[in-house]
Amino acid sequence: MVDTDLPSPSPSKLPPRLSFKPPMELASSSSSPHPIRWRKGELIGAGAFGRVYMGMNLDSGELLAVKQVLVAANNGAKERAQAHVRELEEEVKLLQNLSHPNIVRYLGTAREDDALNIFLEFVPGGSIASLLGKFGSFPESVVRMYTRQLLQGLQYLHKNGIMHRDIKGANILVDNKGCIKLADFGASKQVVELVTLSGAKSMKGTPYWMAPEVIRQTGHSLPADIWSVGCTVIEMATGKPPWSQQFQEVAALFHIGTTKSHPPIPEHLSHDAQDFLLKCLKKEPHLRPTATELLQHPFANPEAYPSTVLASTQGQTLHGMRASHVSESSKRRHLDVGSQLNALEESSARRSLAFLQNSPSRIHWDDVNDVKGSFDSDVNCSVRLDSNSFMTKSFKSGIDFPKCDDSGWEQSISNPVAALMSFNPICEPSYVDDGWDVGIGQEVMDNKMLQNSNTELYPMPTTSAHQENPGEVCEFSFQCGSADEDEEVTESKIKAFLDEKALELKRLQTPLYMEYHSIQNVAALAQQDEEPSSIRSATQQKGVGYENFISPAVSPATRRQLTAPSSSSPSKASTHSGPARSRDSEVSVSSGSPGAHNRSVNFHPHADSPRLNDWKGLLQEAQQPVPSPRNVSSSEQQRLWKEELQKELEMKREEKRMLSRLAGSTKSSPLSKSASPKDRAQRPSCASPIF
Amino acid sequence: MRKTNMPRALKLTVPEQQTPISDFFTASGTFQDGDLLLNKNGIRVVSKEPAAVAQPSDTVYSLEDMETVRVVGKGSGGVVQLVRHKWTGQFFALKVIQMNIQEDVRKQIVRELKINQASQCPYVVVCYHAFYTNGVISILLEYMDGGSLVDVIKDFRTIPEPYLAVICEQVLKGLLHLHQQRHVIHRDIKPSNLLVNHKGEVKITDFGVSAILTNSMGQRDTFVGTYNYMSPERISGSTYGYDSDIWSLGLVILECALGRFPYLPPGQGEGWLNFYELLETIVEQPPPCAPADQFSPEFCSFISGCVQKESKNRLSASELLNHPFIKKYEGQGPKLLAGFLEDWSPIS
Repeated sequence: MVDTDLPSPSPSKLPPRLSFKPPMELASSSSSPHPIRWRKGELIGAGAFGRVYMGMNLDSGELLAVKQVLVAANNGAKERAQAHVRELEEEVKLLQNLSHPNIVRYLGTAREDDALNIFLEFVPGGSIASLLGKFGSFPESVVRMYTRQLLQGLQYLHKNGIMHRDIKGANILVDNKGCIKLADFGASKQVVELVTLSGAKSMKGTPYWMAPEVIRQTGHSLPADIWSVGCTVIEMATGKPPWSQQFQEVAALFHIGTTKSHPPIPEHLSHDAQDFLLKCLKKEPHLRPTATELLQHPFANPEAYPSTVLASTQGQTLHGMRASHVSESSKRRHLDVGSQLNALEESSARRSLAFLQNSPSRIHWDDVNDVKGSFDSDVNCSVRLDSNSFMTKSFKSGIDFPKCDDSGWEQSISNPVAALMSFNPICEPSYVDDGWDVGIGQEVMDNKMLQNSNTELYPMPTTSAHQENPGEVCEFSFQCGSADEDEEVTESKIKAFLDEKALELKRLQTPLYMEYHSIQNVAALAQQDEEPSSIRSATQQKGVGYENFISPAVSPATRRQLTAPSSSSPSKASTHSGPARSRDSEVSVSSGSPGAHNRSVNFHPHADSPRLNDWKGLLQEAQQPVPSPRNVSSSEQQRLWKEELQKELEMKREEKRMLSRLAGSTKSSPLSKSASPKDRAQRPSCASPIF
Repeated sequence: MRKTNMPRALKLTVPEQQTPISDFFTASGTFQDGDLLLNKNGIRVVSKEPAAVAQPSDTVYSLEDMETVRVVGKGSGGVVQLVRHKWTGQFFALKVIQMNIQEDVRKQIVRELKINQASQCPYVVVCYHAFYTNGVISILLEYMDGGSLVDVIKDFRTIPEPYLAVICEQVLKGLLHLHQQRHVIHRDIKPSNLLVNHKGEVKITDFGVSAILTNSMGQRDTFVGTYNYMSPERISGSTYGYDSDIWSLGLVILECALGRFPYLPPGQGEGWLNFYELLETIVEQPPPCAPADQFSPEFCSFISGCVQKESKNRLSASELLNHPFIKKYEGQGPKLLAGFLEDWSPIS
């Protein structure tokens, strides 16, 4: 484990994710001088262009996938390494502008002396290929779920004019909620270039998924990805890509390029699946349907199969909506919104890292419920959603929250700006994809749900540009168990595995986060007491995301609530008497009294980071210029504010260190700037409920 | 690691203490110690003197005792470093492969690698030891200071027939060993896998190791490498055998003679723009041959004995060893090649 303090990258190298950018100046390069502090963890993968490590952001506790390419200082390997770096930078350029739930998110990049690091969203479950290794071939229900999401991700890519070029099980990651994310763009983009550049001296690639026209190099385009989708479906259904049993390496390549017949279609699949495959695997590229068309195919269409997983879609959109409400409405209001939506999210969008980082009490919630149980409830509540009843069991039962009317909902959601703004930097990507918006738009939520919160939404121009797929109705019904038992067993195995991964993640993350949580709250209080007005103005200037720092108007009760985590378990801190609380709702919001219009606190605890880094992501998502009235922040004020906070943090850290030393904590080293997670975990004040 | 179990036959070459520091420097300011040259341009190793042959049986090597001199190449799956044994001063090639696979598979690989050590052949690069630490497999190999045939071709462009015969003889003996003693197909005979040293020795490398690794790394789906020398039956996915190596050897030798890859790209293009086209050509077009006006009949016959599309028409390694082309220069031995390569140092 190596602590790495990266040198401050140039603005061009370091995208906004890692520094604060006011929404107004999205295009400008006001990147923070803060280096990314991160710690390298275990090796989680090795690709053609480098190794992938798990990483932890030492400021936010966020877990990262860090793709690292060593730039050898040696002469011989230098050229080659430089080529790798260029390839990676190419990949980064692509990823940078993409935001879709089924696309791996790009978080930043940094060049070290001898390495280029690329920070990516960490997806806990691993790749489809690795899951196939663990669980064997997938039942058709799972294949269908994954395929639909794959197509949605691909549709998004293709609409942006991007060809993936290397779709295969190993490049599709799965989180613990069964949400798939396409990864490794640009990797195979170099295949053609390599081949052409080096004059057939070498070949790099994965032939089994390659379309014939790619191999023959007779000119290929987006339909080649569709072919690969077909191959990936076969891979998921059989555990092996087509032809892989009969042909190896170059022979496979030659065969695919030569054969007149399509790959063998697995006979155990349903008629729809087989038809789907035949359409994908048309020899002539122009005869293959587009991703959008394939989404209408019965095999991938939720109308035909209401039980198809759309929960993640649902959850994500909701999540996005929540964030948008929060960011768009003033700080005074989002207690309600936050709590409601936390609840929503809890049931429907507890997904991977995103979920984990939401709040400590959420983690606690997960702990209380055993994995299986919580998962079951997930399946019931979030995987199968009814078109008329968005509310899922858990929050129906436990949460009593206000409703909004239909129009308000639609307005906020179908607004792409809102969608963009909705990005929660650590949690979820925002959704700008058509499919999603349509899904939400037609989502009949309990209308009044957002009534209260809606009142102060900024009026945004409603756009219909995102309604390209009116036919694509996301229908969520509670229809369960269409799969046979075998399939269910496999499914539950997969899910249990993914949940287990999620728990591991939580364990990894919790201590650091706890430290953060407590320190921050104390700092916030201190600051507030000292100069409430400055804080307030700073908060206002930032526009978004500083809700955690209580505005001066916050009730004393709230303050108490805030201080709590520093001296007690965070889960306790979330105890409150608000009506928005459910049995397992981990709403870490302190609401003094229901009617008092309390202000939300700890809406995104992970975002408590006084370094503005975390909010960069939010703003990065909102790459397009957003006409937000709150963008007046001056960088000077930011800086001052940050400095103040930094000082405060240091003081608090010092204090904590002293305390822990006094307490005889033998393990925590007074010298270490930030003690290891282990140490943190041992402090009572920081102990996670999980342990 | 092995401090308690010191090799018995360990030789130490420690500079005498009274040696003045100036003895290490040449007039131009280059640090010199034995084979090692060090100056502002970097490190250069000149091992013209016969290096002490390492005896893997009586020496146990540990990674800690190795100091890296420099990186000499990047092969399939890993970096190859030139390392020096701190105690004996011997040079080795250390192939470092990053693995990301299951623990049991790793152990199996190391086991297989150790079995590999057991059988020795002067025409196959010796694998002394294999280490596994922190997800990295390191394989300690015999260091061939002349580089591979790729380096030779690059610098000499073509290799005259007598030297080719010497190369062929040694490679064929190596193949014979692989085919008859170890009963394995090399599968990847190509210029970069045939290494030479200053003594004119030619050895086959990347045997077994690469095969084992590609099979166990779970990367069979992904292939990185050159397939130009692959036999038609392999490309088309038919069964293949020892004679597949013979095809490859024929192409390699022909390339060394011609100074270019034997298959000519279609049209006026500078090279093969299309990988698939090359495969198609190898499978469907007649095999290349040595032009009779440029080469001796023996050589042309030798090449056509190797490069036959029908594998059953190819000669075996032992038959080729008795081929007139080999017989013609028999007895010249590696010294002939050493003379050819004299004063040539690919390291500079």
